[in-house]
Amino acid sequence: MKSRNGIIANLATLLLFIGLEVLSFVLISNNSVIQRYRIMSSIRDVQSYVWNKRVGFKQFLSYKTENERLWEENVTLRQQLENIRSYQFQNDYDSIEFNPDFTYLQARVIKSFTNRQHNCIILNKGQKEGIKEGMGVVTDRGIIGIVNAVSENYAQLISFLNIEQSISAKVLKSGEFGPMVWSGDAADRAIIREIPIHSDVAPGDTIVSSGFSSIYPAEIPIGTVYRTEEVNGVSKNLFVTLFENFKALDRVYVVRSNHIDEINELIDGNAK
Amino acid sequence: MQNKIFRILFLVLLFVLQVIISEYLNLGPFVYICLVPIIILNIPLSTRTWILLLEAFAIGLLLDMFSNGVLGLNSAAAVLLAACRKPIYKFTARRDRQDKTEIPNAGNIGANKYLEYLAACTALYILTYTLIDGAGINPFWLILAKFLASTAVNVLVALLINRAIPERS
Repeated sequence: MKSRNGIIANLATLLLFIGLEVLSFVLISNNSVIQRYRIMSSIRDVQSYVWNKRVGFKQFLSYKTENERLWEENVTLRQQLENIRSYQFQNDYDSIEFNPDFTYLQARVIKSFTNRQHNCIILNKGQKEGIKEGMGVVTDRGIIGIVNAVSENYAQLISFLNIEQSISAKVLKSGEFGPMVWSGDAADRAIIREIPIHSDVAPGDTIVSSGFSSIYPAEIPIGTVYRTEEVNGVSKNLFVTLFENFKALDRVYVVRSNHIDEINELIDGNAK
Repeated sequence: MQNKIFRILFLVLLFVLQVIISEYLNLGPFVYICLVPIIILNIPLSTRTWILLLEAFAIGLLLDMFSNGVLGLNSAAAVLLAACRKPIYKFTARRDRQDKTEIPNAGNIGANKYLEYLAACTALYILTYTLIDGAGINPFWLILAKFLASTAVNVLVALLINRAIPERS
């Protein structure tokens, strides 16, 4: 009880001290133009700081909503990009018909494995949303994998971090391409094989998807070359650092190839 | 009792002296003679902090009013000194003397300790005063020079005044 009274007394003294100091500053401010200007500018500084922090905090609280909005906008933009690409390949400009090669679906990763040799990923979307086996999955920082099993509400991918998975990648600067596989030892390392020996590829060059597979769109950034190595004097291996952090995967795009059936028919020789 | 009346009269005298100094004694831009710290330091340590705060505020405000200064300038510095006086004393004085001393002086806490205490309190007051008075208007070197010169002169003045008081508790 005694200590409680002591705390209250100390608190009252502190309040009195603050009150008297504030009163002094109010008096100074009211009696001197220069001091008033300085006090007001100091108060404005504090005010601005508090406002700034408050805005920052509000922004922090709205990140989730903002992320959702940006994510949706990304899908729309990707779709528009595909439309433009398809438009560029049409000869008859008078009757433009948008027939993009790819359409995109949003999905979130609910489980991702990175510590095995055959890693897989589970998405929160399935057949109900139109996801089918064989569809590619990408982000704006890389190729994630390919859908290999679908249930009504979920889809399973073979991750790119799978030693049996191979995608077609190319060097953005020179256009040379080759199969890219996961190195198998680190989640952010990959190797592109069969690059011609004469190619002028150097560490720091950007690697993108080639677009030859009809599963993934072209020119999705994948990573950068950090080392090159000659193989038997006939080709080069490029060692790549991936842009995407597979350990922190969250939002992805499932890519639906609109012409894959037609392409497959051509490959199989069944085209009409 | 007599001692107490004498002390009050002495503090009133100091206050009047301070008003006269503020009004008529101009020692240039570097030195500001200020007796308020001496007045506050001569109020017994047993005085309750809230009473001391109010007293310091009143002394500062009256000085500002009588000396035609910026109202609130001395009171802001005086209130801060009143709030920090005890912690500074506890920090500087020896532990075994702390409870016995009513008004610290060279005789009861030792000359060196008293000088530290006096210098720290005076410096705090002068620093607050010069900062509020000149920060943002005067260049830094002028504020620093004023602070150092005024602190040195005021510590000296305080030592002389304290020496002149015949009997202290």
